[in-house]
Amino acid sequence: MRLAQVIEVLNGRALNEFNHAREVEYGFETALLSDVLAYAIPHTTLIITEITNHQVVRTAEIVDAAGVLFVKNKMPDDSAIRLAAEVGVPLIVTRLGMFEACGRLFAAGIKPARQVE
Amino acid sequence: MTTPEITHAQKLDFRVGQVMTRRVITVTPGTSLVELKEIMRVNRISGVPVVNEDGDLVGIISIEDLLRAYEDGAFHEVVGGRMSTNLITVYDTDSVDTAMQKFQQTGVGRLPVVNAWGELVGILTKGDIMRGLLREIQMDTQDEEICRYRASHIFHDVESDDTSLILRYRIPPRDFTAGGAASSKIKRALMRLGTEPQIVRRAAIAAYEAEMNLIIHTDHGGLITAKVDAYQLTLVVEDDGPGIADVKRALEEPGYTTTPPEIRAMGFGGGMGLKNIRKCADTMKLESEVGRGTRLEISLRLHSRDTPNQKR
Repeated sequence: MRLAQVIEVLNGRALNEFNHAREVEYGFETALLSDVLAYAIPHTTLIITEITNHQVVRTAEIVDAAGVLFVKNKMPDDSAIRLAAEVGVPLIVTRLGMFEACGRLFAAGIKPARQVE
Repeated sequence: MTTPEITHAQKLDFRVGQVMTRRVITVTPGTSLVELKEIMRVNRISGVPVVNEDGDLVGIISIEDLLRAYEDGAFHEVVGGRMSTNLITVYDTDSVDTAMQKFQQTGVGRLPVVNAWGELVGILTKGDIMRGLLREIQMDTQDEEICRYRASHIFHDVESDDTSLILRYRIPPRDFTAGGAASSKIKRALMRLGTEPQIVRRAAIAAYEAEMNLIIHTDHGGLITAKVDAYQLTLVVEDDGPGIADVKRALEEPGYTTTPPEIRAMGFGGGMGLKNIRKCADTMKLESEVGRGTRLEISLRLHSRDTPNQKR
C-alpha cells in the first residue's frame, strides 16, 4: 500500500511534503522508541505512535522507516516537522485513536512488523 | 498503468505542473480558421486551447476539427463554432499518474492544464511527461553518483599504508532537540562512502543509542569518534561521568535501567540501549568507573562477508 492510501484509509493528512507513492507494508505501534530501534523493522514500516518529540523523527530516520503516523490528532511542533522535511521522514496525522488506526490499517492489509524477525 | 515509464512516474510522485509546457499558444473563439491553420503550421502543433478575454479556458480545437471544417467547406468560419467544448482538463497540482489515466481513458493527445481558478496555465502531452521524468531521473542519479564517487574513492585516491577517516562529534548533555544529529551525520557519511545499506543501518542504530545515552545519562555530555577505513567502522563513545555502577547488569539484565521516569516518558530508557548496541555491532568493549566516566568501543565490518547479528 502507498502512503497516499494510508492517508485515505485513516482520513489523515500529511504534515510535510513527501513522496505519496512510497510503499508501506508493515506497521509498528509503539510508545517506546527504544523498541523501534531494537526490532529490525523493515524499511517499509510505518511507525504509529502518540510520541511527538524530535526523537521520534530521528528514530524514524535512523531506522529508515517509511514514515510516522501520529494518532489522536497529536501533532509534533514546527521544528520537529522541519527536521522531518530535512531528513526525509514522511509525517501523517489522523484523528483516529491508536486502536482504530491500527485496526483500519490491518484490515487494509498492513502487516505487523513485530513478527517479522 | 502498465508501462515501466509510468511506474517511475508513480515512484517519483510528479505533479503535472512540474512537467507541463508553460508557454501555451492559444486562440480565441473569434480567431478565424484560416488564421488557426497558419498558427498550427508555423508552430508545428496539432491542437490549440481556446480562451476567452479573461483567460478562462472555453474549448480546444485540433487538426481533426480543422480537417472536418475543410470537408464541410466551412473554412470561412471562426474557431468558436468548430472547437470542442467537452473539455477534459487536469489541474497543475494533479499527479502525473492521474494525467496518465486521463490520457488512457479518453484517448486524447493533449490535456489543457488549469489552476484552481480555472485559468489555463499550461498544456500537457505524454511527451512532456517522458521528458520530465528523464530529466528528474538523470538529475537524481547524477548528484548522488558524483558525491558518492568523490567520497568512496578516498581510500583508493589517497595513498598511504593505512588511510582512515576520523569524524568527531561533541554531544552536549540533556539536549534532546539536537539528539541524534551526530548519528544522522555518521549515517550519511557511511552512505556517501558507499557502505551497504544494512550495515549503515546497524551502525546508525548503534551510534544513535550511544548518542542518546550521552544525552540522557552523562554529567557533561561526551564525545563520539567515528573512525572509518576501507574495511571497518570503529565508534568510540567517551564521557567523564557519572559512570555505570553495575556494568554487568546494564549489559545483561533485560529491562534494567537507571533512566529517570520523565525521560522514559519521552520514549527512551527501556533498559535496551546497550543490549541493542551489542546486537548491532560486531565487537563491543565497555569500560566504566563510577566518578570517572565510561568508554564504549564498538566496531562493525563494512563488508558483509559474515552474517550480521541483526537481520534487515
